[in-house]
Amino acid sequence: MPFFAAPACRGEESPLHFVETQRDREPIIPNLDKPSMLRLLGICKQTLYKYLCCCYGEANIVLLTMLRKLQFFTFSSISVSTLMTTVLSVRNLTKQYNNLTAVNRISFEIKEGEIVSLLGPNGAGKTTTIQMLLALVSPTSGDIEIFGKNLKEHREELLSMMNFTGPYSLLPYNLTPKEGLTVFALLYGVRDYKDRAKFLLDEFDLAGLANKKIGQLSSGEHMRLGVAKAFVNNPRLLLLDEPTASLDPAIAQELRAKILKRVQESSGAVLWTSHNMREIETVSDRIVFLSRGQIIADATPQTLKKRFGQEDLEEIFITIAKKPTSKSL
Amino acid sequence: MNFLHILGIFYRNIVIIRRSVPKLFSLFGFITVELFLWGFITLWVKTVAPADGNYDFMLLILSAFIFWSMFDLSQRSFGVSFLEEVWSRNIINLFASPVKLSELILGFVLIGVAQVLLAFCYVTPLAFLLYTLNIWNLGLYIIPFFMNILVFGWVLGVVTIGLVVRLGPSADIFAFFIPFLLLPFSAVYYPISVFPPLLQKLTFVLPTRHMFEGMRIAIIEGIVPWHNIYWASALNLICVLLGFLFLYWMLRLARTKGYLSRLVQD
Repeated sequence: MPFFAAPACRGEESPLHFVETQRDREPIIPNLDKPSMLRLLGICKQTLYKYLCCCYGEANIVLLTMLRKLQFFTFSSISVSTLMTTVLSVRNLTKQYNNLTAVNRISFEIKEGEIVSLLGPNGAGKTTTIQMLLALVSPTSGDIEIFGKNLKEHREELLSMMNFTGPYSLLPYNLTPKEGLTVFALLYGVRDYKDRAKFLLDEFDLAGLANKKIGQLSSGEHMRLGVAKAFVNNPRLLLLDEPTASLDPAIAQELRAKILKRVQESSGAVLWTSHNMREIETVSDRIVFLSRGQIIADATPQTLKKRFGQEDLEEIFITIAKKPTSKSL
Repeated sequence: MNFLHILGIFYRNIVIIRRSVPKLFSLFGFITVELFLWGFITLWVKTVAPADGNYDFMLLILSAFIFWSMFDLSQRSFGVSFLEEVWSRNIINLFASPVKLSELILGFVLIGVAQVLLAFCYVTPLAFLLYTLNIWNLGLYIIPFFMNILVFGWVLGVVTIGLVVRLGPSADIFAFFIPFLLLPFSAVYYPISVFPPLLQKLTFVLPTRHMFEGMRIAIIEGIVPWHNIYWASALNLICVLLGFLFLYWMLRLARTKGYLSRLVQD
């Protein structure tokens, strides 16, 4: 196995291109030839994870993070991984604006229960990718499949199973958080919309602000509300574009814990972007590095560190961000 | 069609209208001021018009004013409901939600109907109180005219949305400007015979011209102007199709060129 592997889709060698294969990421468990045994192991791990998340919540976030780092909760044995549903499958996705290639033939997958981080410097194509996943921007070419269905053909059905939060989408300033969440619960077709809004207000500590205008909230409160809105329909695929940007570290940590708890409860898959490398390391099962519209690395945080010989994810980010990736860009 | 989606659009708009004084003023205030203005003009016209004239100026001018206001309001409420999402930078949330375009439009239609009915139920008793004008003297055939007026207002609202999607938030002026542009050519306060011959032919394609001309015929001659009702309805149907095609085309273009995200950046 070479130290660096060029992504198959581009067929072009570059020392910075590294896409981890199943074999790299997933240790083969020997002498377990009965798929049912492996499945049982996976289910036990997931159940334990959910139990820790749900029962102990934020207090247990340190333990959960530690166990994640030890790759205990990557759910990565081959059989378990293959049994897990592919939530999102992106194949050769390209977006071109006149002469600018914002996203260039990227391919990646997210499986059920996975938190994948999409990293890259400004202008790398992260937001364009997310906007294509939300059907806000049409791809020039390539396919997006969510739960095995094509996004273009099943737009409304798939969007009802997804949600997102991002810095470019504010919530209506002239509504109160209670009204805003009620509106979004309705827009996502939640039948018990009033109860759902109330539950989310309590869950994200917004009950005290329920009747204040959204326009009067602080940026931290607004961000919390944005995340609460992202959970309004119990999404099975969550796109979080810098969900903790502009928050102080304490509030960011608290919000992260809430997000992780809710994600584990709903067994959802998450695509997370952030410029906070510590956050990325804490939350990610896998990192997809994007630079100038291309994927140049796709691996677990631990593998990336090992492969790049760096202890710090930030150093890897800087190394990748500074290097040119392709002659065509 | 998901009823909850439509309810969401409706609820969002009703909440902000209910507690916003400027929005309530735009609903009831403008129409009150204009009713005074047109009422005084009509009173003056009555004094200078020939005494043997058969025209009920009060009914002719004030009913034209009321119906034009309803048309203006139906277009404006539609456009402003969409612009509200743009102004509050909520538009990305809306387009990334599972709401279909038809549900969005239907939600706006319900908001438009609610606003127009509220304004109509307010202005007609007020007109009766101030000028003893009973708009129901026109008879029940005001209903097809009224429906045509509402539908054409919504069509222009759809066009406004398309223009805002294509040109960005700075195109919000169209929400207020389009009806004003049509006003002189719709023969609202005067018959089409005052137009030069070429303009009479050109304005034939405007459903509003047939609506207001028909209403005038009904008031002056006391007959049901079926001819005008048919033409207004047929042209309206064509406009509905063209309006939706235009919006669909603009949204497709916006998704290809990335204009939707520009709506929150401009």
